[in-house]
Amino acid sequence: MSALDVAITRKVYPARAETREHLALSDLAFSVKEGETVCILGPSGCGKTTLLNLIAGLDGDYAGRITLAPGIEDHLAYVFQTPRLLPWRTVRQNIGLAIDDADSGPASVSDLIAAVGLEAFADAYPGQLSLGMQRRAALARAFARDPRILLMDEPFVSLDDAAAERLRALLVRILAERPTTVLFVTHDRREAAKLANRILILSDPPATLAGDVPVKLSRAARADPARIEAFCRRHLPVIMPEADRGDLVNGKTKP
Amino acid sequence: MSGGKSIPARIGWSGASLAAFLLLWWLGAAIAGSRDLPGPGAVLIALVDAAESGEFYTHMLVTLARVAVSFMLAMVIGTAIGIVLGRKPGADRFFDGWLILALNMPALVTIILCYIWFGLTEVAAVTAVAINKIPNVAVTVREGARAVSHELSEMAQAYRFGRWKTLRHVILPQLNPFVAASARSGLALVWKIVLVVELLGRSNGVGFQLHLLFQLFDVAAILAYAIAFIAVVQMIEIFLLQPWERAANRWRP
Repeated sequence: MSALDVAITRKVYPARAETREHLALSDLAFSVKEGETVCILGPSGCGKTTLLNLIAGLDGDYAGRITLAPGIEDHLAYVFQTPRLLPWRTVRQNIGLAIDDADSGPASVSDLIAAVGLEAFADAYPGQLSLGMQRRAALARAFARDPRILLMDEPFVSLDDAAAERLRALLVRILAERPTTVLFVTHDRREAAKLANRILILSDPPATLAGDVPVKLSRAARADPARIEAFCRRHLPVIMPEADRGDLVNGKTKP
Repeated sequence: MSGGKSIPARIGWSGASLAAFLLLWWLGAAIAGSRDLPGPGAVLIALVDAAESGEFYTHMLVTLARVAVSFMLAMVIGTAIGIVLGRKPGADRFFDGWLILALNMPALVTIILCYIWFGLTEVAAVTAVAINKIPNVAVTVREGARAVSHELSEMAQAYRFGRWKTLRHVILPQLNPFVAASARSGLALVWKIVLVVELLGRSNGVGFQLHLLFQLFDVAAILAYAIAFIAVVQMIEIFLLQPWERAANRWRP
């Protein structure tokens, strides 16, 4: 049974004072099965974040339909590109706030803090943590929702390679214990190949589906850089390198 | 606060400043040599005299209660209006003119109208004071509400925080510096207006007492009451507002 059905005909950002009208998504349709880890791969600025915002219900202004399976909507978690923790609340409070008031939740805050290795910083404020630790806290917060669908928007960017790799391993470990449907947006082919069961490739804007690649690599293969590299060469087209990033992201000019 | 300086140095400077002020006052009073400008000593005696009568405390407490109620009312209502105007550009455009009208309405006019419309009652008095302060709070808080982080609001929405959780944990902490600023200026403004309200239409409180003393031309007692109330307001600032602000800013690195 599919957890998520996406059938977007058009998503347009209207013209603003400093930007022209921007057609972000056009005729984008796909389904995600429950339990799948799907990576959405596309050049920067192709509308990946837009897509996640639509799925999360943050933006209702589009043409088309997005359907979450019954019951999933209340267990949706979103890990943003920046940690977006509340600076005036401690790590423990930030995670606790994400737990639904209605059900006390099987996820106890302390367990989650331990799962991401932040025991020593549970009562610290986000401003006292490194970016990597803030991202761990954001990850713990996402799992506090007891997610049945987890949206992740390049959650490991602006970390050095080693830190990003540690966080990827952490994510894989938590997912093994708390399986859920994952939609993971990235512009990094290797990251996609390491994490996904399936990779959806988006085209340049207006984004539409340019490829749907199943990933059948063993755990050992995913840990082997050479095999990941070979998989990427064979199945994933080279997408726009980081250096060519335009300053237009999602139709908004980046500061 | 003068950051960077050590505490003894700060106390030293405050002490020197206070001593210079008292000296100047004493000199002025000595030169004038008039009952209309009593020196610090005479005012101190008047203060002690007043403090020995139970009446003094009653009047102080009554005034303090009016300050507390109207201050709270003004802060809550003003903050609510400020948040709505800061968050909803349509409402802001529509009500901006009203706000300018309210900001420029003379305090005395509001007070007189409240007394005429609601009678010489406690409710009219407190309402008049609150109405005078609400526009200032609303304007200050509106600035803060306009700058509320869109990213954190999206986070609250994605994590289904709901209205009250969002207000308490996401919006209000961002408005804190603005609320604190209007609380600080508000306290000073509110107690001054309360005295006018008491002078015009109440039969107790410091304002009423000042009215009597004015008729007796008892300047020493007038100054004694003023100084006593300044001291009380400073206590509120030091023991209530400042600790609250420190607690609210604990998270700042």
